[in-house]
Amino acid sequence: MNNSIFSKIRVFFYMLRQGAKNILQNMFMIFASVSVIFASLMIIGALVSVSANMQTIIDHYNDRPEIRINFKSHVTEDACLAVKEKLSADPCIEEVTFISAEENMQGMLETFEDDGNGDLFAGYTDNEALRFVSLDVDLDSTVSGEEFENYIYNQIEGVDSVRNIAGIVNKLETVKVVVRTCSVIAIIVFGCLSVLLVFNTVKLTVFARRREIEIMKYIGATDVFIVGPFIIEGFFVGLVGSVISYGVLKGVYSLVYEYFMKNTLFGDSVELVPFESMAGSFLLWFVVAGVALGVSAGSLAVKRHVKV
Amino acid sequence: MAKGEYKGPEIVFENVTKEYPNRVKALDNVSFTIEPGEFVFLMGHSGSGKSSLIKLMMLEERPTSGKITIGDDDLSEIKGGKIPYYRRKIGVVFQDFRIIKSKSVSENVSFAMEITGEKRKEIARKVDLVLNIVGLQRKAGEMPDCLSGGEQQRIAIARAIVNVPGLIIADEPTGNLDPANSVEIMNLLEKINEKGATVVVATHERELAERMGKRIIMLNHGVKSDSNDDASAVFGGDSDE
Repeated sequence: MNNSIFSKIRVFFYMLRQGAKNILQNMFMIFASVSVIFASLMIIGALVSVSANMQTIIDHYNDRPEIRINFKSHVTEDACLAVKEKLSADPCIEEVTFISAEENMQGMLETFEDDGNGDLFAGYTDNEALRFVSLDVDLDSTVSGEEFENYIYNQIEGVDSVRNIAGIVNKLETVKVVVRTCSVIAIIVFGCLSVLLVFNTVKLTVFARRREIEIMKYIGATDVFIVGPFIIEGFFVGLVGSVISYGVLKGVYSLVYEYFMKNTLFGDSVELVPFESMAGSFLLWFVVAGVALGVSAGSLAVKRHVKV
Repeated sequence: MAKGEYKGPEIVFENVTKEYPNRVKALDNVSFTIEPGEFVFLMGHSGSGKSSLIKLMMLEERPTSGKITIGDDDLSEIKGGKIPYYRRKIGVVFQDFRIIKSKSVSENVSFAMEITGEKRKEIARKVDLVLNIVGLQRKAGEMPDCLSGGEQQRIAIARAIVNVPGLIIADEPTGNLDPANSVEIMNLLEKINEKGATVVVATHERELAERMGKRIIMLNHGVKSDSNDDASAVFGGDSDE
């Protein structure tokens, strides 16, 4: 019996060769399995990306005051400060901040500059129609944003618009919960589907080679020697599926990212999570998940046949 | 391969009983000893317990009671992970040859060495050697389907002996062969036995076994008697003898 490290290396390479042979002989089913792993990881990856961005968007809005009241351009700073005084006296309001027309103009200019249109807007900075004052309001927890919004529209003169950030955050939180739930369901459903399909693919190879496996057992092949090529087949399917899905997700995400960088969300420019900051985790988890799915399906498929 | 190259082990069955979960008793308190390097026939009708006895020696099954020792190995002490290494000390030949149709003659034989991680050069040398012993050296590259039944069984024998096992177990090795090929296969097994291997051949072909002039262990409904024993007196079974 040759138990040296070299014989183990030779056995390992023999298993690799057999695994490669299985793959070449079973290309159609391998393609089907890779496709299922690819589709599963794409769907899961898309949901996880949306979920990660939902959190970023929520954090973005959480940093903002809950309510912004924009006054019409004819409302003077004094009139606005009078409203500020009135609101500050209300015990349900925690804080009111005045934003001058100059600050608003500066904010708009920065937004246009960020979009590369700073020069275009520069000529309009003296336009009175675009100069307006605002109030940022933080409410305490006893008042809902919607109630306050209605109050402002009905009771305060000269209000142009009210942006209820808290309302947006609440809606986003609901969407985030739905997306996360969908992600968990997708991971379970597509995970099981992938295992099932890779299992069947490897099972076909096992079935075709069942006699060989039986003979292997009789002549003293270890379980590792028998199972090895099938695990390699599953590993290959998982690895290829995960790397392809990573590449495609990266491409699609970059397009979506560019689109949102050029366009506004809820009338506000929100910075999405760049793919690069998630790339490492995605690649790691895709490969781990793909390989785990492939290897576990391969092991399950051959398990019964090693019991001789 | 020189005489004595195969180190045939002693085989000892002590009060071995094998009962399957469906309450069928395949072997009932069977005891015998096969000497190192001995050639023995296991004879009996279908259902007599021959296959169960072989399965016990191959560690495919465990006895319900009793003890089996093969060489230095007490089979009850060999646990799952060690079974493949134990089986490498045994060469096994089946009635249906059990060769891989998609592999050539030499690949079928080298396959048995690849599992041990042997060097390719050494595999090629030994495969050549054993194909020479079984008379298939000129057919090394051919596929099994192009060969006769006798030649296919010779591939199985070459595979069984390529790792130089001490024990050869043949389960009905001539069951699918014509008389001429049967004699050739038996001669081949005898040749291996002469080199020192212990050979156990299960067969129901009484004439063939008697012509070989070797000891015969009779099995009848799971009960055993040697060919020279008074089966009824010693074992109380309705032996063929």
